Amino acid sequence: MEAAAYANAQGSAAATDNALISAAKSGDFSSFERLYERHRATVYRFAYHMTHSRDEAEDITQETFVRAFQNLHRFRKEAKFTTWVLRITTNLCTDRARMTQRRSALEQQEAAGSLEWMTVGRTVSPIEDLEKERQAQMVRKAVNALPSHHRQVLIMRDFEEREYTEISEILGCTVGGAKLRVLRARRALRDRLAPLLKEMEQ
Amino acid sequence: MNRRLEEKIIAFAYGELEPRAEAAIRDEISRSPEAASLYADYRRSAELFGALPEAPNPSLGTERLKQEILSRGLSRQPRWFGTMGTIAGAAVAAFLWIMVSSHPSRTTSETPAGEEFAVSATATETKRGSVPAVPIIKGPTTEGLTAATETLSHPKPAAKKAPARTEAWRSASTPLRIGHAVSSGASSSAVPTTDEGIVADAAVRSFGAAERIAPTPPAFNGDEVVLIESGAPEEHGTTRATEARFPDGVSIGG
Repeated sequence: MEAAAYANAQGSAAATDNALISAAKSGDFSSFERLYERHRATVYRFAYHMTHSRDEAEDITQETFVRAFQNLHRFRKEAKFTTWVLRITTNLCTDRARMTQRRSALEQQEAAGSLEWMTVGRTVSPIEDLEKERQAQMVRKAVNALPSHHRQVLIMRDFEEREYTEISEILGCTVGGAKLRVLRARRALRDRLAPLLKEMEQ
Repeated sequence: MNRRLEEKIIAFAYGELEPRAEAAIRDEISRSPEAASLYADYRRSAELFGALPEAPNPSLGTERLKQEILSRGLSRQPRWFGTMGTIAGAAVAAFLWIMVSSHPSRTTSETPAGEEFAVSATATETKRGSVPAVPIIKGPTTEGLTAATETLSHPKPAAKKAPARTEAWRSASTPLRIGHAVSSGASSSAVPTTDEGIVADAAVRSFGAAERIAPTPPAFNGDEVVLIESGAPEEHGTTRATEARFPDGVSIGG
């Protein structure tokens, strides 16, 4: 069966994640590479929105797949590979957020400023739309100020538009629990954005 | 505003409300300015959050991942590998256990006391490092005993490093014994009683196991005689000695 899975993974471009995982489990690294190519963008996007830093997001993405490779034998076939790797990513992001919290406020500000300047992709030119950029920065700041668990669900639901079922699988909770977390996170975001919202209202 | 209504307004602002409930919320928003303001806030915050720029293109390559995995020494092995490893480990452990248990153990009585003591002292000395070497006692002869006692009675520089322990031993009710060097049958003058002697005693004691390893030579009894094997080589003397008891009236010697 593993040999068949291996052949499938080698030959067909449309090989399923499960076939690739089976092949990777039996020692075929190229199958794992294909899994990486398939899902790295998803992981990277999520990590980027969590950290707002390209370097950190890349590091997290790589670490996620290293851990996935390391723990491939623990993967259950009934789960989705994306869900599983995103769960790893979520944990890594949480760990990183905890580490960041430990830094002093000054260090954090400095690091955030320099990293933003160096790594954040500026899709909107400040010359073209200064106001929009300012708003985006305020939103980013507000999002960054949110606790990690709030940020995670907001990115999953309101940025990546994932279903509540999938979010619940990633977070390891019930669908109702996922809905509740999203609701709380939205409330928290609104509270953080209150100054900007007031300004916009005026 | 009640919690339930707020939840519905949030769901409506994020486009998650069921179509049949939408009409009721629209109605509520149009009637209540508070509800309208709340709806506007959530709507805007959803828009602002959704308008955040996309992530820039990453520079993630499979080669980088491969290198990272290799640098950590991770390699995916088949599942049976772990099981085989466990079995092999258990087999090796069992073999070693059998080897150890079947090998005749070397007891202290089989080994000359001097040799055992020397090995023990050297090993302990290496382990402790700072403790000075204790003279190697070649055998349970009177000369050896005297020499050992004399040497031990001299103060050692490193032995003075443990004055606290010396104090504790000084206050001990029973005299400390220096392994086989001070036998139970030996005269009391052989037991170090001076300060230096106690320090030396402590040094010997700190080596440990000397008392356990070295057998105590028997006290001389007028009825007992040790017969030394004749024709022993001059370099190292005899290897065998037999203890014999002679009946009364038998004279030995010239």
